[in-house]
Amino acid sequence: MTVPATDRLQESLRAILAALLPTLAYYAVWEYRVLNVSPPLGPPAPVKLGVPILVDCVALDAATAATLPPTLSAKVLQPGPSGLVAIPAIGSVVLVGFANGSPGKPYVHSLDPNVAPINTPFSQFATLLHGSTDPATQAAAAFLQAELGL
Amino acid sequence: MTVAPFASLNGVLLSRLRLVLPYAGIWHADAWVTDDTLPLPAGPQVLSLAGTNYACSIIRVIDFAGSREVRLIGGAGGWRRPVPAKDYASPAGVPTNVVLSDAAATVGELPPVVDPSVPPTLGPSWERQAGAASLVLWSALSLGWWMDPAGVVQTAPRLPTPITSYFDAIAVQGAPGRVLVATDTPGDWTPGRTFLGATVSGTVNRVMHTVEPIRFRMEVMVQ
Repeated sequence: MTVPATDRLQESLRAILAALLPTLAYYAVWEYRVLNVSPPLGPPAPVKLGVPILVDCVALDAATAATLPPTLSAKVLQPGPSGLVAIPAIGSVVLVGFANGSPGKPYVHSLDPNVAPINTPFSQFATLLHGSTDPATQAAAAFLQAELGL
Repeated sequence: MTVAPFASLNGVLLSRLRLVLPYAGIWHADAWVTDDTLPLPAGPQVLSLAGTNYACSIIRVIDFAGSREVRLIGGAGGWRRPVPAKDYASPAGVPTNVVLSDAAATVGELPPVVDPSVPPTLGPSWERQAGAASLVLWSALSLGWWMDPAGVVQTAPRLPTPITSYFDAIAVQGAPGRVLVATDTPGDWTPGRTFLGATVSGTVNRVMHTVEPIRFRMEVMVQ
């Protein structure tokens, strides 16, 4: 007879709780690393409002991969309240959540604080300003880029 | 003339049986076999009670003092086994039956029967978490699934079909909603069905059949 790896009573209780709260894992936020972004909107290409940005990503660590799929494909990058998005850099870490705790509603909602996005609303705005022939506007674009390190 | 045992496991007479049919989820049973020398076949088992056969699998067998106690679970016992996490994505919507049958195939169970009342898709994405295969059923269907005697997961709503066969309500605990029923047709008493008696009526929520050496009784929890 093999020795059980867990306590039987605890295992039974765990099974009951899992059946009562089957979507508990989907109320957590999970870290994934970006593999690909579609469409690949590097600057100066503007991000079109209403066009979903889809992210392919891989679980950051073994704990995540032990619970959720190791790779996620084509998950929506959630825009902010302004409707704008910043495109995460390949290899950066994003946070994946599930709306309403539903396994059918995954979305990417936060970017890596340590890795600058490759395309932000600010950089797009600065690009647009640079395209102007007005010297004052061009100066404003240069200032914006210098201050924000774009 | 050979009389079929009232309760048997693979044709072998049972001295005792406790069979629980829940409103949602998988039914299970504890059985006591009088002869612990008879080998139990490997694989699927057939539990019989008053003419109704239940396809099941063994969870645990313990022999003691010439008697054998067996814990049985409906189906192939696969829904309690783990499945790996899996990513589903489809712009047209991830088909519900694909997610359910996928999990069933992974653990060796028959594919669930998806009723037309169940939404045909789960959305453009579905992330299956690692864990017991039954979590797929609980998270996709909530309480809207149950296992039939053949060991197949059903998703059709439990129908309030009236029980027309004769029965006697022997005892009633009104506050907890329990009724002790005597009947010659225990197979008629399944969750969801309604009963109308001279002294008590209700809708069956959970059924527990108990077979003992000298008596059979059925306890019904009402909704």
